Amino acid sequence: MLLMLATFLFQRSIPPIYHHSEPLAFLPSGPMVEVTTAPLGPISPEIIWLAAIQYYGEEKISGGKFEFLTQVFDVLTRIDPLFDHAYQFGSIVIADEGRSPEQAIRILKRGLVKNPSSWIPPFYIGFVFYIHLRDFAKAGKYFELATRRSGAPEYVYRLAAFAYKKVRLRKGSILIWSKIYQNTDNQTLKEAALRNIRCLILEEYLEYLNKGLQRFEREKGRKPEHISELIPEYIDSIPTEPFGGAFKYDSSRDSFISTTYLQIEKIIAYLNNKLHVFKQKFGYYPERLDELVAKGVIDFIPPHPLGRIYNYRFGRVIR
Amino acid sequence: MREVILNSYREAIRDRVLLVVLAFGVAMIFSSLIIGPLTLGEEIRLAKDIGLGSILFFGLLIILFIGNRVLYRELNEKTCYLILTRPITRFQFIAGKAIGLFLTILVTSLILGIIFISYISLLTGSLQITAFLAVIGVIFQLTMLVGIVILAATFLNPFLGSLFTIFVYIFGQMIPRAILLAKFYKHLAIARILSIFHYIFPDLTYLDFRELLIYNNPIPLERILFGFSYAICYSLVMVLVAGLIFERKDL
Amino acid sequence: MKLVELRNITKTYRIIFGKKVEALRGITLVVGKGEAVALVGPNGAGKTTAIKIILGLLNPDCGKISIFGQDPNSDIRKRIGYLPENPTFYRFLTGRENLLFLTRMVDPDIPIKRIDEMLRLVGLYGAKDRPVRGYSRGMVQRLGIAQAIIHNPDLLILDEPLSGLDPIGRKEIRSILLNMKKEGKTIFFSTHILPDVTPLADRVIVINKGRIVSDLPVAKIGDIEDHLIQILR
Repeated sequence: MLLMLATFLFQRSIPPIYHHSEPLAFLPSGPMVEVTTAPLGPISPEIIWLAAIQYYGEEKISGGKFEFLTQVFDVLTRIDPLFDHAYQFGSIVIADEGRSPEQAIRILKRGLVKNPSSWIPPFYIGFVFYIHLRDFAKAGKYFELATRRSGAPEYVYRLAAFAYKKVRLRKGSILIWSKIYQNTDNQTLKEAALRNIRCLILEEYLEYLNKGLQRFEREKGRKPEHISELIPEYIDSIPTEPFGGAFKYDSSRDSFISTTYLQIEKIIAYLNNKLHVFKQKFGYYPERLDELVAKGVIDFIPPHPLGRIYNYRFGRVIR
Repeated sequence: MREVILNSYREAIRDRVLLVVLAFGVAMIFSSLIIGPLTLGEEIRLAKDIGLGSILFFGLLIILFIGNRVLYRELNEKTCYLILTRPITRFQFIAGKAIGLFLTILVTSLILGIIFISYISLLTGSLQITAFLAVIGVIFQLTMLVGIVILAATFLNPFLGSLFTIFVYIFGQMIPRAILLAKFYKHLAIARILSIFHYIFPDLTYLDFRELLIYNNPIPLERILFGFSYAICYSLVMVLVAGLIFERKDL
Repeated sequence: MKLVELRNITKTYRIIFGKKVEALRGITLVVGKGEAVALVGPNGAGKTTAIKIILGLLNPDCGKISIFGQDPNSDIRKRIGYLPENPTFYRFLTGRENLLFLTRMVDPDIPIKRIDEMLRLVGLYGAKDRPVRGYSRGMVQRLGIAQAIIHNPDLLILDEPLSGLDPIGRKEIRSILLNMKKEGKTIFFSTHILPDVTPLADRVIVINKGRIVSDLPVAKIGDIEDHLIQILR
């Protein structure tokens, strides 16, 4: 009885062994995983898929660095090389939120060989080259490769043409994302696609507004005193900002800006300031952003206005 | 021999362990209902994989729990004295035990299989014919393991016999992939050694029709037929070796 | 005619760590048709080993065995009834199911009537539908006798047939065996209970430490107890 009580009390005082992102540290890496997971039969890809999703979700909530994202999808596509959705979801999140497009391409290129009848791997190699690496020649080559595989939808042909003709990046990107949005049941992927489409539209609007502004200044030889001077001759109307903010004319920068972008800049400045405070207090920069909350420097991390993850590297948040 | 078959089947089917294992098997098949929403739109795939996996694993559990004991009990409790002094050869006795165990596995796998197929047919809204072949593949995989466990039971106690069977299962699953890996890295000597083991250990991948079930990739008829005949031959050889060992055994 | 013939049989059990136990050291014995032979000896003398070798349950190290002039591992087993020492049955089956199962292996078309008749004979009819796991030691022994004689064998090999029975049971079983003897069946049985020997046996073989030390007709032995003590001293 006494022993039980003592054990109970002792157990409560021991810190939990579990830390963020550690569970996946035990995941075997490289080709050996194909051999070691074989005894689990058809259950092994399901376990890894659930682990991948859970890891992604946790890292997203806690603002982590996605260190194991590449590894977990590498393992998953080795165990089940025909798993198209793993290539799709994996390459998008690795290239986008994991910020390692080269790693995404490495995994996809293995899929190109091991899943030879699917158009998904070449298409997403093209996708990463097009959107993240902006290498249109290579993107075009892989989009074209995807068209030669069975089941490739019609928009892959259009994208191949876009890439070769070097059609403006944004138009092609919006097409890709909207197709991803339409064709997936994966809610996380849908959100990512929507977020990216909104960003692209925002950029498109800003470009349109600033072109109108430049034309005004060229023709009139002065800066406008108020936006209304531009309507309707130079711009049709002020478009709605896709993230719910507004477009404003900033005379100091002499260009149009989005209030959403302003807000992001403010938050980043705030976080960097607090990181500095953290460094002075503890003598080092935190491993992850959520340590700021854990150690009581701030109450919570303000949500990213675009629904993205803050890019935190080496003690600083960058855009 | 008919009597031995019926009797070992009856003994196994009346075992309470079987009911418990079956209940867990059914629970696991339906577990995808709970986990499904976490899979980001992969519910059907999950249901298929988990269902197929549970037929395999709970079949394996039955083989480990019951299969190991059907022979051991006869030898340990000496009921075999009364049987083996009747006009039946020891080989017939072993074969009868193996067939009785096989029938048990067949019945339980078919129960789980029918539940599994109806479940995923309801989920997808159409009869999943490919699942029949996948389930039959699993039953053949289990048949090979029945051969292994009967062989193990002729010279090991149930605990060591279970370890032996698990060991053979794990290595049987790993070797085909390990050979590919060794060849990929140009470790040809290792690949050659593994190929020898490949002949000894059962290669369950010949009866793995998951590709058809999950991705609808057609599997050539030769491969299916080869898989079936491989499983039958392998099990027969195992029972034959078990019979040879048992013939020489002092009871 | 020789029904059982053992020539120069030796059997050594190997125990772990290379230790050996010599259970039989070259025994030779013959049982003729219609004889009732008792195999007598102290515990661990090799009685059960000898019986198991006759039945082919154990393989001898060397020596020759023949039963009905044939190898023990052949169809002649139809003509043998065997009762092991402390027989065991399937615990999850009833007495009747056990008997039916064991008899069907000899005679697939055995009528149920014959089974019930036999159960009545050994006094188990009232317990026939109870699982064997609920049987007492004596009831199991009775079921053992039933399975040994149900197919009307010519040769009965019984290992300690009267052990585990109460005095009434002993008397009942002894009379069943005596009846079989009268019908001309050959009986070869082992026992270490001396009073069981004389009413049943025509001949007594004494075995000690794996060797046959005496083989005499009952008529030539006065008091069996004195005989044994004299030999084994």
